[in-house]
Amino acid sequence: MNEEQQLIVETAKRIFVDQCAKPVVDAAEAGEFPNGLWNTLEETGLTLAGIDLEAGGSGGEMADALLLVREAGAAAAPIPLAEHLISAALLAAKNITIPKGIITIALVSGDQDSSGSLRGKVHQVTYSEVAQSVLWVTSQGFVLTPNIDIPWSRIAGISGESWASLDLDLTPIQGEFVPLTDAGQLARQLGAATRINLMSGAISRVLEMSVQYVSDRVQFGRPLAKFQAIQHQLAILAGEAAACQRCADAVLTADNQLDIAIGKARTGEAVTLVSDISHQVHGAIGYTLEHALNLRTRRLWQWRDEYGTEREWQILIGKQFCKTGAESLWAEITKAG
Amino acid sequence: MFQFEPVSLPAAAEALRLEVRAFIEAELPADYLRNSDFNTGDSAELSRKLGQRGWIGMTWPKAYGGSERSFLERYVVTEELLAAGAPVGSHWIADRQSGPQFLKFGTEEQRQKYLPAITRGECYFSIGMSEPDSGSDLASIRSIATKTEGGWLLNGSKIWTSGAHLNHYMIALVRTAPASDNRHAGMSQVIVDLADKNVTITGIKNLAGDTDFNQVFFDDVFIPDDHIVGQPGNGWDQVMSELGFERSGPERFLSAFRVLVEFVREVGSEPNDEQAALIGRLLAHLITLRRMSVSVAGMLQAGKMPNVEAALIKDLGNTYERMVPEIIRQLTPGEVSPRFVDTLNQCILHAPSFTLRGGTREILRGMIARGLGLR
Repeated sequence: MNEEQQLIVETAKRIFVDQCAKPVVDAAEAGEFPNGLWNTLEETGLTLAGIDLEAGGSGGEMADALLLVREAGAAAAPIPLAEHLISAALLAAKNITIPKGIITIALVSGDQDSSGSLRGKVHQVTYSEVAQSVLWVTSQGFVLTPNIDIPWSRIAGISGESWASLDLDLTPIQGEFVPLTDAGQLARQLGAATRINLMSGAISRVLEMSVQYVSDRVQFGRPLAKFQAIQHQLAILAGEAAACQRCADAVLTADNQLDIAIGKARTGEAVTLVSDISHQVHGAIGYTLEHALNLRTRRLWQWRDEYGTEREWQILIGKQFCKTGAESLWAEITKAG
Repeated sequence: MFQFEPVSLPAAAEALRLEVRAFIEAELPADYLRNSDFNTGDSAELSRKLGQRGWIGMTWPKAYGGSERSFLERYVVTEELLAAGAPVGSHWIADRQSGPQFLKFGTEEQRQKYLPAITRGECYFSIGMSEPDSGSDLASIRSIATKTEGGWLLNGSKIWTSGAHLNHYMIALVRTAPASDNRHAGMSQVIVDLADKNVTITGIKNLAGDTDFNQVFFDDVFIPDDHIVGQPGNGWDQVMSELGFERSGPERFLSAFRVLVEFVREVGSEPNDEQAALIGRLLAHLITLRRMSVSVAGMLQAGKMPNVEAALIKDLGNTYERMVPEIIRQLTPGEVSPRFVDTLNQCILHAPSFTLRGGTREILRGMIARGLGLR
């Protein structure tokens, strides 16, 4: 991390400690958006971290944004920081001034029709309840519209954040189409990079919480931490956390599809072990709504499914390496760095 | 909690990689059944040729035959040899841990005597740690050297000693004082000449039917005073340092790599989705492990002692290499080549050793837990 990034991370940590305690997350899940938290992040320029100054951003590089997103993951922050930052990055790529307010992003399966309306379908749109604008991204461009009178149909998400869908064939979206080469793939990669960082942040925090809990909790006359069965479980958890962090560090530039595929596949797979072990060592208290562990594990269970499940990315990796074949397998691995 | 900072390999290391690849292609016969398990193939001829290239003892001072190259360059050479499935067993232990022990704890005379020969690929070492009644509980060893005129008389035995029947020497951890309340006191590392007439080496067949490891008996073996490595009584601390060298390398996650290569060959350039997903899953693990292992090489280069990080990679890596044959076998296409079957079966047969050698999974997890502050 450079100095700028250390500053961003330290500032974010402080803000989340002050303004993202469990009652804030609970209230958000009950429908009360944490405007105070969002406004603080906006005032400090963090909601546009890593976005070009010329487009109205805070300057810096994509890594700044993703390191910030990792902190949001650790804090289980119930805000569309990732969605807003990805949208801003795409707008900035075309030097378009970023509108005020929250932007969310919708990946469109189709394209513009002859009348200029977007057609196709969108799924898994997050924070559709609170966004003021929507960035509709097709394979080769995007349209920015206000989020007004859009008949979203929502599914309650496992994290408390909903997934919204829309059939654009029934509700065509109109607006100025801005061409951007490979916009769809770019948005998908950026989205996956944010999920990898959200997950890595949350997993590191889950490890810390688990270490703390087993050190404090006394059973059979000694802390749980002193039981070998518990120690070995946490050793496995620490291995997964370290691997996920290494994956998250590898996608900070968000410009390499293979790194993103590896990160999403590896980190998503880790969620199974991480949630299993952390809940097991926390016992029944960790299964309560009251305990803060579930704020992370429920989000992990959602983030692993967003922007491609493990399997989708595994297939992409597998096909890519099979194309070059067995004799080149090792050379391709070392090329991946 | 544990940091594995990204490290990119310098251009010199990448240039070296191509040299190693060309060397392997020229040296390995086309019909050689490649095995990326460092412990399953040995060739004194190949080791000597590697020595001529300066690829043994690479990081050691030139005064002792080394090349004074970086840990990152050494990393590249070791991973290239393993990935290609070259028979590296002869010199592996001497290069990885015996030589570094001499550099760290040995006398000038010992360094002069052994290191140049090791770097030439002509002098091979075995590890003398486990005993019949002392496995993971290494501090309970009973082999004992008693003081005599000009040296020590060694009695007892070591077990699971890979390559003792092929190698020249063993660095053995033995008692040089009777056991006391301080279980880590009174131990020393000594050099045992495996050709000594009072040393008896008995092969033990592993479950694959190979005789790789042995029991080594010491019957009044005379150990001259100058065959003690480091300080008498300091053996325990020295062994802990030695195990740090033993754990972080690519041999801890590449043992099953040739199975993956042969699987990719079998499925061809157009795998079905299930096969592609399996290959992608294994590669996502492998590439991440490799990146973490390069981070540790970077820590070694920076003069750090990443013992817990090494234990963590070994545990993750061993878990991965145990998983590879287990899931690949289920997706094997109907008609497969004898080469694929041989490679897969060899891996399955040797896989139980992956999580035992160099520290069991249970010992490693204990170390990681200590690193987390739990014990």
